[in-house]
Amino acid sequence: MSTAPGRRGVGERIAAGESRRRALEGALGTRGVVPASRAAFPSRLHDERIAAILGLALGIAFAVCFATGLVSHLAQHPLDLGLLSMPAEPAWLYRVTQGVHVATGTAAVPLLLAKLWTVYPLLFAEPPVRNAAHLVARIALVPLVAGAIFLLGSGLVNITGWYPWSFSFPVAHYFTAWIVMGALLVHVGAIWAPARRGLSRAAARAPEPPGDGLSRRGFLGAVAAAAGAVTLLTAGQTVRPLRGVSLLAPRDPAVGPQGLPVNKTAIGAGVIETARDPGFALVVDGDVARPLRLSLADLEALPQHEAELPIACVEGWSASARWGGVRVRDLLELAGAGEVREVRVSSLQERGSFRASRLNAIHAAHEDTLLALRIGDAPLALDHGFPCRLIAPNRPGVQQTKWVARLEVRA
Amino acid sequence: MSAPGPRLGDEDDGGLRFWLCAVIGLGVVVIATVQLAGARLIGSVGSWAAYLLGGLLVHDLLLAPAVVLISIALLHLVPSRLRPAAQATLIVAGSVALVAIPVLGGWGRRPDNPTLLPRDYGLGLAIALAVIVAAGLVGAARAARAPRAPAAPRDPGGW
Repeated sequence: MSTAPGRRGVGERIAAGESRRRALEGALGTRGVVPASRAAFPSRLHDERIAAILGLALGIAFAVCFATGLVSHLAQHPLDLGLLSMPAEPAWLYRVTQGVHVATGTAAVPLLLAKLWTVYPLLFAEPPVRNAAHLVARIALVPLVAGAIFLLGSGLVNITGWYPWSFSFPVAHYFTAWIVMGALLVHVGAIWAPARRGLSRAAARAPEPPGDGLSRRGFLGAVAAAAGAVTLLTAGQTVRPLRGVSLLAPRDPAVGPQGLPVNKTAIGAGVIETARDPGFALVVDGDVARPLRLSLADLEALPQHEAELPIACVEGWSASARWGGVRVRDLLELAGAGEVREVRVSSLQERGSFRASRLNAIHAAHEDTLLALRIGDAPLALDHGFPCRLIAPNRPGVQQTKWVARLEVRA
Repeated sequence: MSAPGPRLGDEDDGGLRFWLCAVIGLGVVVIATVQLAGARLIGSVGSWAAYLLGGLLVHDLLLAPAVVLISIALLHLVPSRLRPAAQATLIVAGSVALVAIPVLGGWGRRPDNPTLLPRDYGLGLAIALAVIVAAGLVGAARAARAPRAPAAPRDPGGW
């Protein structure tokens, strides 16, 4: 490079009102202020435009996961939330939101790793802190990056039924998501201008930086291919047509007794004896005029209904089945229940966090909310909740209580 | 050398937008952390903190440096025109292998529930990696046959 005409020194530039940083750059060229990190990481892929595009993709993925996660949280917690109560229709809603939650989180793994790799040199930036804003932005990166890795990692581990830790996964996953969202807001504030620059039309038209190896376009294409590959290899646990290619899915929606996967088995729940007891009786009580005690034969003698409904697990798998049994609302009517606020559904299971669930008024009154006795034409398998289980539209699987022993009405 | 464009790491230096985002965002971080630590059902908060920071350290101190080492190896072992195909293959294969770790380990298997982790994941991963590597080889073969691009300025490439 020949000497630029009109080259001025650093002092002159500062005197002319340029910032110290700009003056150094102008006087010495980039190399003069290239931090050590830039020399150590010469790849052209540590690039602002790549960081911006991956950041946007990751931001969308995390927003989708957060929104669908909130839906799942609301679906599993106090159900009487007025307008925020989980609706009973459409029946497939939770199946879709939770399937999307897990699939998006899985696809975000290559996006997050690519993004972290793109900006990895900044970990060693010189100077480490430029000003107060830079300090705050860097501090916020700790909860952002640690939290993002935690959310994706713990989610991937949880869906395989593995709990190597001693915290509650749903509680930790939920609050960590809020931590990440807060830290993400700080990050967006910090990178707003460069991100806009990186996503601008001018940046799109700019030529590829020189160098060999993957181009920017090629790199983004490879990351997209990685996200697509992990999606295809796992999404078949809920998107049934993909089950043939989803070689790494923790579930196969067709594998299980009566063609349905199981989360909690009868052995695991400790109900083998009680569920098979011929003296089994379902109790309907609480705020009712005529408490009921119904044997399996009594239940079979009541009007029967059928509904095609999915079991949609929080762990992201789902499978549909044709359920037959007694409508919950018919049972409530038989017991003389008036205005129902909530129905507490309890299992024969004596311990465990999901031995009971609550039906909100909308679900309790829905025509497809059944105390199911059959899948297709066959009695429920023991692992699916024999002698009877709850099945209702648009509910997480953990709330579809099995081995139901009691419906307690709260008016 | 062409004029340097905006570079990675040229962040805002703290306008109103930044401080607004910072105050609200850090507020959410603090509230959520306090709520988590105080949640009735959380179990061990220490275990959560260990996994949270452990993940960060595993990435920054193990995974990222490992990628750097692999990149250096790639620079020395793979001719430059085949390098893009090699890089893309490693990105896809590495992602798939990483996501496969929990199912491959099968630590969640329970004897009473054969519907959980029902597949042969070793075989599944082998098939997936074989397909990815085959696609990479096709890409490499096409790159090797393509006419050589006009000599570009020498650049060390990099990682």
